[in-house]
Amino acid sequence: MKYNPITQDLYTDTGTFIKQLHCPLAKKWDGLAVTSTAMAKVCSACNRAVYDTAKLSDSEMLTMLDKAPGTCLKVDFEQPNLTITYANHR
Amino acid sequence: MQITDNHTDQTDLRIIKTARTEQAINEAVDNGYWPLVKPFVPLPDIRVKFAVSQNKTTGKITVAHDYRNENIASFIKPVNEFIKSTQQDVSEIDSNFIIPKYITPKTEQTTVIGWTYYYPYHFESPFAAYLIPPDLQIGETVLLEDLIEDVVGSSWNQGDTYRLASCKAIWDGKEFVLLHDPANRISQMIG
Repeated sequence: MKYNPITQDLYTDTGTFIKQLHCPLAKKWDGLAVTSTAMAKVCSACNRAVYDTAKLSDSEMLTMLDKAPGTCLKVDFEQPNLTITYANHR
Repeated sequence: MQITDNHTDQTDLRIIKTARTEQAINEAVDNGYWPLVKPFVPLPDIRVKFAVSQNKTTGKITVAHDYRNENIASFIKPVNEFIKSTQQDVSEIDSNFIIPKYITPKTEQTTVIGWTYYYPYHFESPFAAYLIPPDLQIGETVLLEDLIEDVVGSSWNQGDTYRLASCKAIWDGKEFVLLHDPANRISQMIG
């Protein structure tokens, strides 16, 4: 996947828009409640699951966001399955 | 750009909005807000990089922002340059020499702009205003939804740094005191 930290847009490797990541509460992954799976944690502010994109494929994320567009995601700029881009694909 | 109103996330804090044009600021005044006007001053510490390579035959370019991009010629040194840099004669190269993938020659690509840093954000006006509601209390903690001040919020281990988009702050009656620890820089995003 590709992530643009300027626009905060997340894309698949082929440039399909997945989601704009924004949390005004500036939540941190380490501060979220753990769950039974390493793939997700729970944010107490909105009581939503936050999924770790390092453990998801592009197609899994597209499917997830198609079913629930408000799904929260976490990206780490240094995760192996991520490339940083500043191109605007939208 | 008008008054920012991008987000409806739940929070217990009052959200202070930002207006970034003369028209938007004056519209907010008409609606009872006091605009706390500030200049927008880009911070030199906030910067990102790019490099451009070009196909010698077609002229088409490839722009890279990430050292991990395999198509950028400036990162993948062509083998002939690699050999030159080692002062070796080509005849001395062992025929069994296996070229690692990371120096695979990209003979059709040439670097036209090497890795270069620049300031990546653009705003419509060189000023903006926080819109102060008339009942804002001194000492009240709020959320500045669209931060005017240029503050480094996150960074990447390749050297790129990004501005903080929003921030909690305390209203002291004249200014907002940002509740942000500059040392608390992150390299991740949630949303």
